[in-house]
Amino acid sequence: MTENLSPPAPSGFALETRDVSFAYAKAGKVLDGCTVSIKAGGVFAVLGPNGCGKTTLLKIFLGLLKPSAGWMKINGEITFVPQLFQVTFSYSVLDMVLMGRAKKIGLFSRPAAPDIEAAQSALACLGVADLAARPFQELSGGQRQLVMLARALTAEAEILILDEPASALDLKNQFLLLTWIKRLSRERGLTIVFSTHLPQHALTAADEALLMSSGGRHSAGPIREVMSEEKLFELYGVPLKFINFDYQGRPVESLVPVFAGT
Amino acid sequence: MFNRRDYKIERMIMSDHKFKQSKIMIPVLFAALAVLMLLSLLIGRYPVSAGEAFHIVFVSPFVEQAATEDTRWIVVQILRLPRILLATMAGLGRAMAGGAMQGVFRNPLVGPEILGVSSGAAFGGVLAIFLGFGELPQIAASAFAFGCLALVLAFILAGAARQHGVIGLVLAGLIIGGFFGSATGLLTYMADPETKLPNIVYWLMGSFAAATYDQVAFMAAVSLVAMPPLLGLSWRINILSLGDADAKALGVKINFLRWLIVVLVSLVVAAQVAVSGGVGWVGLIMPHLARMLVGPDHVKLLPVSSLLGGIYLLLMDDLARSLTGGEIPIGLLTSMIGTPVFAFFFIKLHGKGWSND
Amino acid sequence: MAKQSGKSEGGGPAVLFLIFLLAALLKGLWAPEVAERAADSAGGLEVVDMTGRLVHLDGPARRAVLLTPLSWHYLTVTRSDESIIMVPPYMKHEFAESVLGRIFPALAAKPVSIFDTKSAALFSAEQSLLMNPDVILSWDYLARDLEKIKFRGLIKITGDGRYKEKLYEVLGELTGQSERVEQMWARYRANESALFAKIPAEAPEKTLIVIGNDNFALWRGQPYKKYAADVKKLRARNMAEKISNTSGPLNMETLLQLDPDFIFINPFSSYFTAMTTADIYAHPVLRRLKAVSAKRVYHMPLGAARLEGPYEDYLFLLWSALVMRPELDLELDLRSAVRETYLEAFGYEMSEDEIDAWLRFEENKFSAGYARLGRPR
Repeated sequence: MTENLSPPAPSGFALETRDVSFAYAKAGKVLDGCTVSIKAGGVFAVLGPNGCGKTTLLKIFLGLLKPSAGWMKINGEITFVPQLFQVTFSYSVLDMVLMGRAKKIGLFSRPAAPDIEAAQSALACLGVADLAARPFQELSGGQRQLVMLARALTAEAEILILDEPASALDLKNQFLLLTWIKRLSRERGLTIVFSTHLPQHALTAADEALLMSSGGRHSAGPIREVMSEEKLFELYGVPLKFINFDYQGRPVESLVPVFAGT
Repeated sequence: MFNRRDYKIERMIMSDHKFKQSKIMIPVLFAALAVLMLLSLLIGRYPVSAGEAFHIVFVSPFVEQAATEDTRWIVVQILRLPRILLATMAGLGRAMAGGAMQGVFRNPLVGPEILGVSSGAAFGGVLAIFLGFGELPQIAASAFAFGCLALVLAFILAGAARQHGVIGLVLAGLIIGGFFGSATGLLTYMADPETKLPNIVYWLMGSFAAATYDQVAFMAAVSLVAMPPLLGLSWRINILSLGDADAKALGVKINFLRWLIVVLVSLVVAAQVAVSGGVGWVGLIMPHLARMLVGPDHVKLLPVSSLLGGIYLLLMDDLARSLTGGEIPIGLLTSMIGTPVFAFFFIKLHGKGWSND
Repeated sequence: MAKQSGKSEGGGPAVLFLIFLLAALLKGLWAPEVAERAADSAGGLEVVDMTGRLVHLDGPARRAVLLTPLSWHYLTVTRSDESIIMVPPYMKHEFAESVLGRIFPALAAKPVSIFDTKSAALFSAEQSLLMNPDVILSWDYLARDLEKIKFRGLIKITGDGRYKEKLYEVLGELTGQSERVEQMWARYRANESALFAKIPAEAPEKTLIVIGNDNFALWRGQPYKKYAADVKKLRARNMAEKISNTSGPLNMETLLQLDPDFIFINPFSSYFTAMTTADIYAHPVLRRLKAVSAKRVYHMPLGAARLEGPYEDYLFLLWSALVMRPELDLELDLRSAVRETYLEAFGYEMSEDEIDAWLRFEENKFSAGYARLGRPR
């Protein structure tokens, strides 16, 4: 039901699904007839409240889960940045990042100079090269995410999937990470898919989005089309409003929740 | 309870210096093992001088029709050398196996015994003795066969339950190992206390006293088949140790890789039990010590753990045969001496190598 | 981009391992052989050991290392402890407890091998080369390193070797006492037949159990295989024949169910049990047994160790007959028999006190019919 085709389809999509459905055993349908086309080279957000199936969809993209119906097409190498990271052993940051090279290193081989260079340059690119020798377990949440992102970069894949990358971070790191996502996509032409439950994140970093509500209903499309105030209200049950203002001479658009009393 | 000294040691261990240090650790350990092996030629109750010993080992095989009647030649070539080789290989094998298992199963309490291969092999040996096949080659063949059988059974069991993940493997191994363990107990209970039981008990305690060159060749052959591939796979064990989901997402075929490693480990363990009976503890403890010294990267860990195991078991066997006029069962020595030594290192190195998450 | 090679590159350690393992393999395959040493002199001795191996010795054993519980048999055959140069440590108990120590006082000072597994001593091959005995008697499964070096005087003993005539044959050949061994056995068989002839075939069968250790494990007859068979000729039956485990704890209910006529306690107190007849008589559960209420609990005699061998076995049968068949007037004088036996076997004169000790008289005198075995007034 799922296929990984190459050469790339002429449509220029990195990833396509049609009518994908999935249900965990004994739970209801988590995904129902999900159809989405992700453009190559762009940033795509999977948006929705917790429990609506975002992670399930990402796992299907990665081939970790098999859908019960529908098909999927991937054009290119794909790699993954998990949300939280616990590690049994006290590997160093460099060790962790090197593991991203798994697909490029033979079964009985080990990392060679090119692999180490790729890892180090990925760390440098993200500005965390000085962490290379530190044990991964000593890092803060934000640092860990950056290291995991570096690991994904080291894999030299065309498609990056990130599972709620900014959700567990503090404000500053959220911003940092989302900025990086946007930059990497632009500078390296990577297709980046990330999930989030905060619409602000989608707005900040993504070109297109998929809105998923519980029960499997969804709608997809370019950010400003699919993220209208009505649709968001439907999705979250909380009114949200777009506001525009000037910040230091630049026009900024932001999305704010409307709480009673404000 | 944070104090200055702990902090200093921690910084020292975690610094860059350590990564470079681990590069020389492997050659240093190899050298130490080689030196110990040479010294072991001189250890023993029967007096043989260093010059004589080295002549016997390195010169006489090539030069003359050796004086094979000479008692010293017999002591060095027939009594000591096969034991030295066998004990070393057993230690190398088990410690590497233990390191691999701890990585694959992400668990510090795991030794190479976990999959029931050790129990199966022990059962095979005991069964051979029980049925009256008390000759060494027969015991060894039976032990090796049943060790491999235990693995096959664990594989079938895990497959039947469709649980090829870590928990599935562990449970299947527990079940199969438990089965063979109780079967061994049953045979021990039923064995004739006059003719068979002491033989069984003695074999289970483990010993290198009966080491022959046939056993050396067998162990070497199995190790040649199993150990270099394990070393080759050592980097991938890092990835496996991240967890199934993550490893899979990184593109690793986790089930295949896991089973491949398990098979290689089982070969080594089954062969070791077949030639020398039960020798526990080495595979469980040496990887921890190695991890404290060179960190958790399995590329460095497996060779270092292996070498530590070889050195340790060789040392234990040297003691077993020379401390007294008798033969101390080696299983006793490894735990009696190993426990305080390990406790010492554990305190000194603060149990480094494991995440505190 | 990264390399995609097959074998581990940068595998410096792997190469070193490979070299070592290959070297070991080659050494293992091109292994040196120990040459068989031919017997030195023409007047050599050939002995077939208990596993059927042919052993060439220069002559009767003059320096013997005994690693199995055979000292008693060896001494019976040689009548002297001169040729023994080493014994297992547990033998010290037997020397201390029994008359063996008094017959052979020098034994207590013999060197002992350090370790034992309660049934044998573990003795290293190098140590044996150092001591250079002509003969080492060892259990077959513990003799592997001696076999490896083709030690000339290795005599392998198999498990049921404590009683068989085969063992005595081997010992006789070893020590040049074959003729005497034959005579011993001939006389033993004659005495045995004479005793059994006194037991009428229609005598009612008596049942008995032998308690082996503190857990009330019952002796099935192993190692006393022969005893079990002989006991049948006394028209008595060892009820533990059918019970499979002879060393583990016994289920008390089984004991109550068996309810034998006689209860014996094994003779080696320091090794297996410190139980005495008084313990059994006082035991709250066992009081229901008819053997206990009729005071037919006896502690087996303590001979010069294990009551085995052509001399002591007959004495043991005598004792069993007298104890179990009081209703038959067997006209046997056990005390004289004991005295004469040790005199003849070892030239040792037992005193009345020693005979009492042999009979465990102080302990057994409270049991039925034992008083008549006391010393003559």
